[in-house]
Amino acid sequence: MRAALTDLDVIAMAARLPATDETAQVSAGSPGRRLDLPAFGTDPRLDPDLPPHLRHRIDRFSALAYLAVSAALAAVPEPARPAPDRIGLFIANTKAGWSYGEPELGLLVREGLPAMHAYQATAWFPAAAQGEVTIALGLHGCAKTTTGRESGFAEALWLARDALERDAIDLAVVGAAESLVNGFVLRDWPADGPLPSSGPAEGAVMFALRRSTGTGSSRLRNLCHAGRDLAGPALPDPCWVPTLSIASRLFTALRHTAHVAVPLGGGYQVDVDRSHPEGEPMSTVRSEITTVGDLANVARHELVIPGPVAEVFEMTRDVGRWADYMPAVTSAEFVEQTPDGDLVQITAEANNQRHTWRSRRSIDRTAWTIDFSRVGPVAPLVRMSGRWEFSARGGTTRAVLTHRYATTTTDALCFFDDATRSNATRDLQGLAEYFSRTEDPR
Amino acid sequence: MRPRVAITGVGAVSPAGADSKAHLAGLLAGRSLAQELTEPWFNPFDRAVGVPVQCVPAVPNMPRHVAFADLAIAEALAESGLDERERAETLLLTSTAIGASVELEEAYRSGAALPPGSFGFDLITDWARTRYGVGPDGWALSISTGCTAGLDALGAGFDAIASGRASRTLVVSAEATMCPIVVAAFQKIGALSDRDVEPHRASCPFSRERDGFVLGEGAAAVVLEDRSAALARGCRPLVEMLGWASVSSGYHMTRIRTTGEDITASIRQALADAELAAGAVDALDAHGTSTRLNDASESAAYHDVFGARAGRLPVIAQKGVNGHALGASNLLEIAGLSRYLPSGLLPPAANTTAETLDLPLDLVLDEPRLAEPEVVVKTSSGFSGIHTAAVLRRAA
Repeated sequence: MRAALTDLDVIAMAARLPATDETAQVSAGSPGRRLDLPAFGTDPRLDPDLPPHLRHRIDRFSALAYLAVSAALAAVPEPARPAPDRIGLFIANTKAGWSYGEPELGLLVREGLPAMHAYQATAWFPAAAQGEVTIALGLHGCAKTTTGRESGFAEALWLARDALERDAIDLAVVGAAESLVNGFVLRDWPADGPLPSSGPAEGAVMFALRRSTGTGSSRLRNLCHAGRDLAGPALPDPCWVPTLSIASRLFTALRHTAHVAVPLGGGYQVDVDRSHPEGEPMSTVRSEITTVGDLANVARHELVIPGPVAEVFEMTRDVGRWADYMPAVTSAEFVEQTPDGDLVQITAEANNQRHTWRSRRSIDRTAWTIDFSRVGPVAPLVRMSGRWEFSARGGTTRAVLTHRYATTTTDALCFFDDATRSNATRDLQGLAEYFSRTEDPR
Repeated sequence: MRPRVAITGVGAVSPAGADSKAHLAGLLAGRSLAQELTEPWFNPFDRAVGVPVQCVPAVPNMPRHVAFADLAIAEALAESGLDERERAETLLLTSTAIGASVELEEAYRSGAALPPGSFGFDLITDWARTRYGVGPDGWALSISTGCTAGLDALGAGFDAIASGRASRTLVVSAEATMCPIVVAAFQKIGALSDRDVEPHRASCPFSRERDGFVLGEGAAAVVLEDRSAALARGCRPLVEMLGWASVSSGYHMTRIRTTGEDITASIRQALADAELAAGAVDALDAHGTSTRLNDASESAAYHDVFGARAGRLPVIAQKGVNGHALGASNLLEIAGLSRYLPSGLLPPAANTTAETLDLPLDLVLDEPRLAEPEVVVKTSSGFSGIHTAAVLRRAA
């Protein structure tokens, strides 16, 4: 039974975009002309998260689509994840796969048919990504690819809403996946004119959407076409791939803005409506210390981080980056690393004193948890352990940091109460500020 | 109560000719127009066979598939009798699987400059707006889903009217395929027929001799309209569209499960969308590519959905005549259906005979069959594991 929808809950999102200063060099047009594109320096087909059997048979844009879709789906809480035949996929791709197709065309022209590879038929066309991703992830719902050069991402959203309205699916993964990292596609701009100056030249941004339940914290509302001249400019500067830059803009709006209308190109727009049911400001850490024994307490700190759970988890797992955004941390490094855990050494200030300690950590990428336990605690500390827990809240993440500790004296217990309250608060706020600062998800 | 959706105008450019009447005549003649491709850039091929569109004038600075679309759009708009204001209110859904492949290959080989935008897959949208004043200020969708693209665009146009977001849509699909990279890509994976017969005998849907498809090309345009609005302006519907559905197999980029279960799912969901039981279906318009896998899987799906009746439902397979025009093929077949259904003549499949028929289906063979089915299911499948089905009914 069909039913009209005005609201869609955003229950997860993920972006695979090059870093701000990252470039990929391509040969373009005239012999010897080389360009540095804002793209991945390392071919995304080599990413360890990509199934190895796909590497040699897909284009860069399909690899990026796979990485972003799988990250978005991984961040969907289990209760919200429907059966595979109820999950749809809607991808904007406007430039096809010339990083695969251009060399194959070269082989055909120079060496003939026998030199060409069989995967040209399945790697080049815009719908390649939806096929490879639905196959690799076992998705059976309606999947479509849109190609409007400016409005392709809005068109993908439109078709996703159509599929949800006609009850064909319960969850739609929607986004843009593009790659311009080849010389041939650069001929799409006049040789004597300026090239685009903003946005990434490849990447993928994906959103997991469902019919609104009325309880979600992030919603897209009133997807509409406001008129090709009425919706305002979708992008301020000429950008490499409008679909990708527009999807990135929506990604940023969902992280940072409570209520805003986002132009999606070609006259389309959607309203972002982000609320926090408990009403807490994003930067306020909830702090609670509970006594659990004579000289043992549990400190619990909680904050909503304006970033997708997969990225927040990864930032926290990588202690090598802690000193960049956790104010209390002076230095942190891995001492040992295994797939399931590590030994880390941390130097941090606590109550105006510098302390160094080692913790053994256990990593669970499925449950988004990191358990830690201090190695060889020195009296008056008897033990210090705890857990980082992350869960998706729309496009944001609820982070809970729990410390369990015991001491030999009351004074020492007070010392650790103050230290954990101060440092956990500052560190969580630092994590939140890191994601807030990232205006462009690149 | 959702609006009833009718097709009120059709245009077609196919190997049989540059309008839908020629297209229907070609279908009813039941003879393939396939030929050896003899342009010099095919010289390195041992064999290159296709069903090219002939005699369509080029459109300056536009690729060949847009030139095909141009004629199909003009015909569909004329038949639906839309005035300037009504055209402006019409919303656009366009599709192509491979866009300007012919021109891109030419440019690659020659090193010549391309008009800006040549890599766009939405050029038909631009053209329909600027040349015909269709929906210049309205929303438009450009869809590229391989060989189901035309039917997917039709489904999206249906959704727009069923949801009340539009009262009229123009659905266009176009494909130009006759270039070495396209022929090579499909030849390399064994999708094209390569048996040693004359080109016009190569495509033989559902025949035991089938060994692959023959590339076709062309364009179709369909005006979809809120039936009551069409009747109010004095327009007579050609065909009614009742529902549609699309699923992903999640199985393989080019193969289809031989059980046909994914095609089955698309048909069942389309019937549910149309609020019809399988028993209400009177005929089937197949994807019928003439590949071993497609035709067998499609037959299995028909038997799964329709049970014992599957062997008695007339099955129409249009690719025997026109070859496989990739993304445009299914909308071309909808254009054919919109012509043959009102005529009371079902077109025969080219090249397949009662002796060579391989599957337990009532395939229309040899000559046009006098029949007036009410409800027809159209099926389609494409690379990337896409299966789309639509349910249509003869206009009352």
